Amino acid sequence: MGRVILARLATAIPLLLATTLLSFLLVHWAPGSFLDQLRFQPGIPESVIEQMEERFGLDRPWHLQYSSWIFAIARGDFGLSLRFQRPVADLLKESLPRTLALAVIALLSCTLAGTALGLLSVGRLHGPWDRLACRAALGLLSVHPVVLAILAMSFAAWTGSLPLGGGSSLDASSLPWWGRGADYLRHLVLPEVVLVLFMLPGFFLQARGVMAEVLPSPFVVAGRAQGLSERTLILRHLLPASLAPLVSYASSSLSRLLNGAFLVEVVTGWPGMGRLALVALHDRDSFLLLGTLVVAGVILSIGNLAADLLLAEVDPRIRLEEAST
Amino acid sequence: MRAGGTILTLLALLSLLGPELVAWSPLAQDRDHVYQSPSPSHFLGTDGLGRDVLSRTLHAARFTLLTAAAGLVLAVWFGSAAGALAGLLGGMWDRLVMRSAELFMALPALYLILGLRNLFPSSIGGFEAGLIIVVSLAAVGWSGVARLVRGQVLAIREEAYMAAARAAGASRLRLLSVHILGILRPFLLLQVGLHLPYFLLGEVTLSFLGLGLAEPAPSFGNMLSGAVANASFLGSRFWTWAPPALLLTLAVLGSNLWIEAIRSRYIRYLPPLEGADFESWAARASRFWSSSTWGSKHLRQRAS
Repeated sequence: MGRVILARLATAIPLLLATTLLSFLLVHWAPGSFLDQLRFQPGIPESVIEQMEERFGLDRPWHLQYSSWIFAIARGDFGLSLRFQRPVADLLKESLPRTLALAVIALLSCTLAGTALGLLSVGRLHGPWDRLACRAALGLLSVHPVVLAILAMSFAAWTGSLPLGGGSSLDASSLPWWGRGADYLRHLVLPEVVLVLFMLPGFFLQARGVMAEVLPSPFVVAGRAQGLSERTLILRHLLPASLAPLVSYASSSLSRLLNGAFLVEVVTGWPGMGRLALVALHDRDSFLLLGTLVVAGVILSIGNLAADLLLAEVDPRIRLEEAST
Repeated sequence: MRAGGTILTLLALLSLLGPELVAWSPLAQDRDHVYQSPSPSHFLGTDGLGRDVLSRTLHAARFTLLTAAAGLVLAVWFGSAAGALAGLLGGMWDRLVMRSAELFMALPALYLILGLRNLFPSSIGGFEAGLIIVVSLAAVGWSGVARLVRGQVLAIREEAYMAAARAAGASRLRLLSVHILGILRPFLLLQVGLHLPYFLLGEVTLSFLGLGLAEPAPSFGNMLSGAVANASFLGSRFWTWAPPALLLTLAVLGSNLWIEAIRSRYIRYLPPLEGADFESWAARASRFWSSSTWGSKHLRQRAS
């Protein structure tokens, strides 16, 4: 197992470095910067801007800037957000847990619910429930997450039961810890539901497709012929055999999950990393934008690594293949 | 399964002819009649600046369909060229194309687009905005296509007829254009279909985030973001966001249904994709999502 992890890291780390270089160059070549915006304000003398440029090292050639930036990141220092005048690491520390909470809960509940719904469908393939569920899933797949979020928010506004935006109530800091927790959860419900509705159809259709593929295999027929109960057949034979494709689907949908979380954050006002990245882009806040890009890349590669390990765990064939290479 | 094609054709007609049939300009403001509910003079009401929602929706539909189609063509064209070259030439070219495809998959698509969009000035005209959307969608979309096409080319390369063509002295260009891409035509058409919904949604996402077509020009995305900005009035002013939302959903639904139509029509000509044929159109649609959002394990396994 240790060797597998090492081999994965050996490919993941250069890729991650290349990603940081790509994002750095994209940001570096961008026309206009935060300082240029300051230049347009008549009240700020040129000397102040030059001072700032020197302080942040923005007057040096790009490869020096890149190397000092990347070494600083290795020490956990993401630079200073010019827009907020605070360390980027602090801003990320506040927003990342919120994005992760949103994404991880959605991933877990979609995996479980998608598999469960898929099992129901496979129980009677092309039956009334299966046809209904497939149509509903395709319909839901066709709805843009922004539209989903708008519908959910109109519904919430109509019932008046859920807060419409933001990550906490105004008086949250005066509440005891359990009150703060409840407040957090109440605000999480709306974005979470939207994200799950966005992701669920894919998981359901994948689970259904995979299990429908496994269903006619000889070992299932043999198990049925031996008189196994449907319950044992499904839980002990069908499910383990379909686990590997489901795990790989979950890992392949990580990028889509982060995209979805991004949009849901922007619409519902959940103060996560996506909102931060958008603010950074609009204000040309280069270090903040770079920080979010790097963190998004890191999350994706950690997710892929975890999925690879999980895949080796659920599918012995992959384990053997890797041991032999 | 003609439903998908019908929906798409109707929408294309609507977006081409519709804007010409509406008396109101999408930009004309009427500050005395803001947020009017649907009435005989404004069939779908007016928005916050008194602009006709129907006219704006139709113009937005035209913009979305055009940019999505152009981005799609560019992504599939570039992706298949890169993938075919990688598969055919092998060696260094192969590694170069595949590594750069991986690089483009190492970031979540939206964050990558944010980085790309960062290269251009914030506020730009309609045509430039359309161009940037097309290019950024293609930049995100090509890598998945390149991977799949490379996998197919690697399989085709070993076919006996390829050896025969090579022995008969066919040039590399001929091998590529006639013997490889010719065979793959249905496969490429399927790729176009599979990516269409993704590109429609992507265009709207960009404009919604303020990275695509900017106000006052109408797009689905900025109409939706205008509605979201006044979140407390979503229910009482539903006509400002419901028409674009509905048309967009119809377009994506239509293309999702169209995928199945192409697939079932061309299935006998297709090189075996993956899995068995009894997989339903719905599972295929879900696979589209996994292939369009990059880094899918089973695709990677197929490619190697």
